[in-house]
Amino acid sequence: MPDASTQPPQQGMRLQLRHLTRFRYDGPVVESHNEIRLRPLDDALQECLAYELRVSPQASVSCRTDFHRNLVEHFELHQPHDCLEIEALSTVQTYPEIRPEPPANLGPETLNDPTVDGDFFDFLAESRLAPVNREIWRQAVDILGAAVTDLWRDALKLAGHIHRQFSYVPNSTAVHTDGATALSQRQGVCQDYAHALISLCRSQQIPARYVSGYFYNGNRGDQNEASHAWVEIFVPGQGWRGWDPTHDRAPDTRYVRLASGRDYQDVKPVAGHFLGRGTKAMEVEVQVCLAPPL
Amino acid sequence: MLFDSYQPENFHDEMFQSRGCPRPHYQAVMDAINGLQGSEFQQRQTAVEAAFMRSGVTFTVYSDSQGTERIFPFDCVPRVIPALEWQRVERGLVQRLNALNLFLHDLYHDQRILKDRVIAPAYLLGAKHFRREFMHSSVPRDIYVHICGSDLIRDRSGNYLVLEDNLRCPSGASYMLENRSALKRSFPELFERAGVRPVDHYPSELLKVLQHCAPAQFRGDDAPQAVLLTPGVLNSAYFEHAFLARQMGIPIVEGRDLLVRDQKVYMRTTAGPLQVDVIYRRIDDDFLDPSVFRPDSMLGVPGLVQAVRAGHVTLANSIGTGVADDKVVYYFVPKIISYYLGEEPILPNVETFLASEPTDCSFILENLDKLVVKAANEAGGYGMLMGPWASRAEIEQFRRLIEANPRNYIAQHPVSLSRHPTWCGEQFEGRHIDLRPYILCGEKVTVTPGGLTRVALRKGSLVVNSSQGGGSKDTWVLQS
Repeated sequence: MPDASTQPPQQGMRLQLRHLTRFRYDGPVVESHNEIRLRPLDDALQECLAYELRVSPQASVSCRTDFHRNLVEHFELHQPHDCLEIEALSTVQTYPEIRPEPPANLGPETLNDPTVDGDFFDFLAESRLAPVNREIWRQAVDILGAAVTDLWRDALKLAGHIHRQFSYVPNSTAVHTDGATALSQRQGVCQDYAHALISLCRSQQIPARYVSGYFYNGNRGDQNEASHAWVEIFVPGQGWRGWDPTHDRAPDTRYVRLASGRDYQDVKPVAGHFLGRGTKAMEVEVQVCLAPPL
Repeated sequence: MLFDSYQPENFHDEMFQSRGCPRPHYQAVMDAINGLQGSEFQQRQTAVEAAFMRSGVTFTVYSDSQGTERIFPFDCVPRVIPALEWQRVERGLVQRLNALNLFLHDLYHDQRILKDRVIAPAYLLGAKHFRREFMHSSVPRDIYVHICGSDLIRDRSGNYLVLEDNLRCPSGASYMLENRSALKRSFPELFERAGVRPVDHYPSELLKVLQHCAPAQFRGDDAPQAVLLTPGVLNSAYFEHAFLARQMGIPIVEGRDLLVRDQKVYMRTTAGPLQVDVIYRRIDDDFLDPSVFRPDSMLGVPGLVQAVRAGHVTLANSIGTGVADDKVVYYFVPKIISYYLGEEPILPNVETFLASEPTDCSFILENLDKLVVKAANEAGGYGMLMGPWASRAEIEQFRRLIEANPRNYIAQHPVSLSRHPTWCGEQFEGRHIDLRPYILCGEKVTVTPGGLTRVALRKGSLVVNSSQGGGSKDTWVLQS
């Protein structure tokens, strides 16, 4: 979602998050299997202080870590139900980025350095929502004007191009719109900005991945737009570093990351399958606010 | 005499060294058949076909308006493999499957082979059948491929080469068994004398393999409950599914017969749900579980994948094995064998060139008129260039395609498959054949002696697929 403020906070923040998904069905659902990716990640930039998943009707929840090291919760329901509510409540402490700016001129050849450790291979190949084709490759070459010599700064050039060319238009795309479509329509929401940037990066062999999460907007605007998506670029020697193409800036301490993957398909917050007639309505409520002081 | 007019021509002929001069291991077959009139041979041939039709030994052709089920044409002259020759094939297949199982385990865990740069990661991680959902998930006894069917061919000098591996749901074992019983009925006296190694134990071996790989936390003292999961009666291999389930004495089920509760799989029975430990699945990964893979699949079982992950049920073969029978990955199998086993491959691949490796690429471009070029992600003969038979324009077109996207192409020397005398209505003629042996991986890796020999029944054709006019033969591996 777009945000007008320009001053990033210097300090870490303690944020409280609530993410409610409610399904109302056309008739009783007799069986359902669900996968949830709603627990904030733990790493140098953020720490999940508290987390609770509430499911109604009640179910026993098991969890595992997926390929991209996201936490996935899984539950089954076997009693008939007309409505399913999944509510995730968490408290997160974010920390400012302390890594220095990536050194200049880390080109694609540095990825082949055997001392560079990182699972970036997966994020070089195209994926369903971030395809790579000749037109995308062409477009990226035109934007850069030369071969990639600096993975990080060239990715930022591509991001800047998207930010200038795209207009943020809610409801102009759908959840399954891919990066190629977004690039030709030049409009969309944060998810489309992210897929477009990932497609451009991968066409130039810059490892890029999709991040889903939240953005604290200072309690202004519509709370339900606090869900956000952006991109991370692999920087040899430093690891993954975020960039938000919707705002053309690095994510700061107002950003909370839930999961990362090749594209949206890998990080769907709620995914599942049920036996029943159909879904009448799906409602999502997301709230991000400052946690009360300790 | 029936073989008098037979011409081996300029091919490797399985039966004849030269005209009128059979290889020693075929002498008995030749004597038996030479003792018959053409009409007598035809009679036995017709009897077998009628028996197959009556007992429903069929396969389904999806796009055929003549009625969907057909018998798999059978040729009464057996293919004979001498003991020594087989030993080498057997060792080669065991080596290959051991290496592929180690490879799959590594690929779905530490990915050492990628980190050591033996294979460029993009080839594997971008492969259509790589299942990243199963990274870091272990399978019982680290066996990924329980049942493997590799296709072997022989070149002009009679060397066995691996043409491809089938690591997902290889089919055809039931035809191997039916062919054997048909041949025993049509040539009982010959079979008795020849000293042929039996194949009938395949179903019981398969059942042992399934039970061997039951989940580690297996719940009781009884034998693990195995079932065969079929897509249903309209599937082209349904005959085989029913046949193998019956032979093993295990239930045959469709997706709707199973349900998942608390990450355990149960079969619906008249006496209530019965827990299932091992599933011999004849359904592709994509259709297994609509909550994880294709959401529109009506064939699968919702929640099955989570049950597998929780270690409550075993799938044979495991999920994600298809990555290792990809065309580009095939190229790397010899490297895979030496990487994991430190051995030289016993059975070589057909020599293959990857257009994305620079040295190979220049070789391919210089020799387009001599090579067969295949697109890496196409199947069924699309995107293929048969260099020696192609026009100038076709060759130039492929040159441009390869230069634009080298990663997408492989090339091979055309292989002239070995031929075998085959009954063609009135006389014997040479027809091209291949061999699909069945390799099982349980407590140890075993190869059923023989397999399914497929014949391209059309004159000159190199296509042995049953859907494209292929037939089959009984395959004899001799005891000594």
